[in-house]
Amino acid sequence: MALLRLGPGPAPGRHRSVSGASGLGLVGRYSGWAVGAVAIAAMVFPMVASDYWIDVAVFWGIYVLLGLSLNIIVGEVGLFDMGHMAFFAIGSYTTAILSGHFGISLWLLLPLSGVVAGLAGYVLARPIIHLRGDYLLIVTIGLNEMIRISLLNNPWGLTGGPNGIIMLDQFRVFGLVIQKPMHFYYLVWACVAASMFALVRLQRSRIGRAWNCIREDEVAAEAMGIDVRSAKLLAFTLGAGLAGATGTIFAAKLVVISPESFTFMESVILFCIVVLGGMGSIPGVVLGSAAMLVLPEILRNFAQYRMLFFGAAMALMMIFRPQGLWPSKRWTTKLQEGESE
Amino acid sequence: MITGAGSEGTASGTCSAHHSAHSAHGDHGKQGADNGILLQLRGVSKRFGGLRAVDAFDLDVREGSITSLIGPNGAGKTTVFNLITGIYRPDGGRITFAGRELVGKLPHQVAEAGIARTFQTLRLFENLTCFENVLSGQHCRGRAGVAASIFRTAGQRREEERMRNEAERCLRQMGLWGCRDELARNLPYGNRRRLEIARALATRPRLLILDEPAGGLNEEETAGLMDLIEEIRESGITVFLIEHDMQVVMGVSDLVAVMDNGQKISEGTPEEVQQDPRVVEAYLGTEDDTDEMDEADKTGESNESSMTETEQTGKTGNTGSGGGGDAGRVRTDWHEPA
Repeated sequence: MALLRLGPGPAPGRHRSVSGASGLGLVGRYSGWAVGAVAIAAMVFPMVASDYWIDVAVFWGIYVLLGLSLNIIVGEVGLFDMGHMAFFAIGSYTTAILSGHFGISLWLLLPLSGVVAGLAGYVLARPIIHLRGDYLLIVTIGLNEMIRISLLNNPWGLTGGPNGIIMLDQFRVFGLVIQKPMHFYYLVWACVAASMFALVRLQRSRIGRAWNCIREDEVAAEAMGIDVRSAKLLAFTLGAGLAGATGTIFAAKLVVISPESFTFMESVILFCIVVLGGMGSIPGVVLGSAAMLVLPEILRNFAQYRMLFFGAAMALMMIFRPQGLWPSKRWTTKLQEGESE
Repeated sequence: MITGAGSEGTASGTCSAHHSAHSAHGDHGKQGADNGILLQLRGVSKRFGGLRAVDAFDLDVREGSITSLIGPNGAGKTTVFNLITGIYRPDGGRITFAGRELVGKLPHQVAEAGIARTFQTLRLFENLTCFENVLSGQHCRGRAGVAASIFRTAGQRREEERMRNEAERCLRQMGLWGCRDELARNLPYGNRRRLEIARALATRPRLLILDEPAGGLNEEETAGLMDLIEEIRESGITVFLIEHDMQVVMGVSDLVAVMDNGQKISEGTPEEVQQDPRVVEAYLGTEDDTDEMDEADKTGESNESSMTETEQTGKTGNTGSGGGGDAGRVRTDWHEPA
């Protein structure tokens, strides 16, 4: 529905000129107020909503985190990764196994799962990082399936095969066990806020700019002195790491972790979130995951038509709004300095 | 087109004057630039399949000079640039820059060593602003990592400040500061060329390599470009360019090297090169050749057979060269005595 309301955008060829350097005046000028209002609404929401809707918001938040992590790879650098669930799975299973066998605190496992998934991302991406476009896409699909099937095969009796693992531990804050949907809600969205903060800063740094240059033109980026291979690997490692850390929250929330949560279909949904929201756009990820997750909940009565709706929405998006729901905006000197020449 | 050269007032006479100016420019240190030679190519070769794109090529680029590389289409000029900047790896020979070996270095390492380039077909970051385009050149002059960028450490902020100032300086030098927030794709053609030069300058190079900078510019813009090249040299940066516009080549160069069929056929000041019969031959062909061509045109049969021949050579020529303006190779092969 929301997709249709946007109507025909500018011609695909020159879409960036509109949203580009001129900036979104309203959002730009009142962005402080807007952020504040959204933050307050987000704080109040669980106090008024039912547990069911809070749960929807928790999963929305998890997908926002995953979308943000994939956005580093797909959106910022333009590497087509359609097997991102592999790293999410590695993070979730790291948490479930280490927590079950060694009773390590989840607060410690949150960064640790991130590190393990990041390392896995680095090792798996190293030999394939030079592949371009669809070739990389196909290999990452393979990675996703390899990881999922390995988990199914219950290596060394660690993963529990198709039945998965039951998580016994939970996050604890000063004796309070994070179990209720409301608690998870605050935990997840605090992580979203922290990730967004870090990613916005990265986006506007030397590293983020290098990523964008690679997305635009790899050869030129290299000629300008950007180490393309390292920058791509860094993006892959960070993206995989954030997905892995998200896996800890997911494991705690779901209690039972099994391979069926990490199918190729889920990776496709993640990919759609990034493309739908707008490549490289952080607010776009929030909107994109809302469209892919919250809308289907609203349309639950039409569940059997869900895939039909997705397909139609994607096709319409590609025709009328290829730049995404909330296209990424270029940083401009005017906005920052307010200086007139 | 060779004989129609313009002013040579800026040639070698002024060179020594510039030398003193730029020895004060001690940015990258002066190590290794023996006897004033900044870039040296010795016996550099590159083969694509059976085609010798560059064949035992020698060249010296003196520090502080403006050196031009000219030649008919497909002579291998762009390949030479790609060999220097690390996009291709030579099959043989040595390339030294300021006394250090360049062969085997990756493109980004070459840029870091102090060689910046522009491309024959513009390669801007189209969806980034002009300011961001130029900032990209400063990437290799910064060190800030992930953590420093997220926490905005004092060092990172200083570095950003320095990068922005440098980008601003380069944009102003090219007269593009006014459109700094414009996306690169929205710029008119002449400004796009200038933006590419600004971006290259932002890497703080010692050597600037320009691949046909006057391509597609009108006369007025070309004149502006010549002034600019002079200005860049005066700021202490050595310039090495490929150019087809003889007015530019003869107007600004201290030294001109002429290439044909992957080999250097002549070298010298603009005046010397223009009088070299081998150069005239390479560009216009010998009398015998033109006769042959006329005959071929008359008789349909032989024309056809030569067409198939050119097609074949064309194919082998294109396998590895990546379409870097080697389309004209066919014609130059033709002149070769069998």
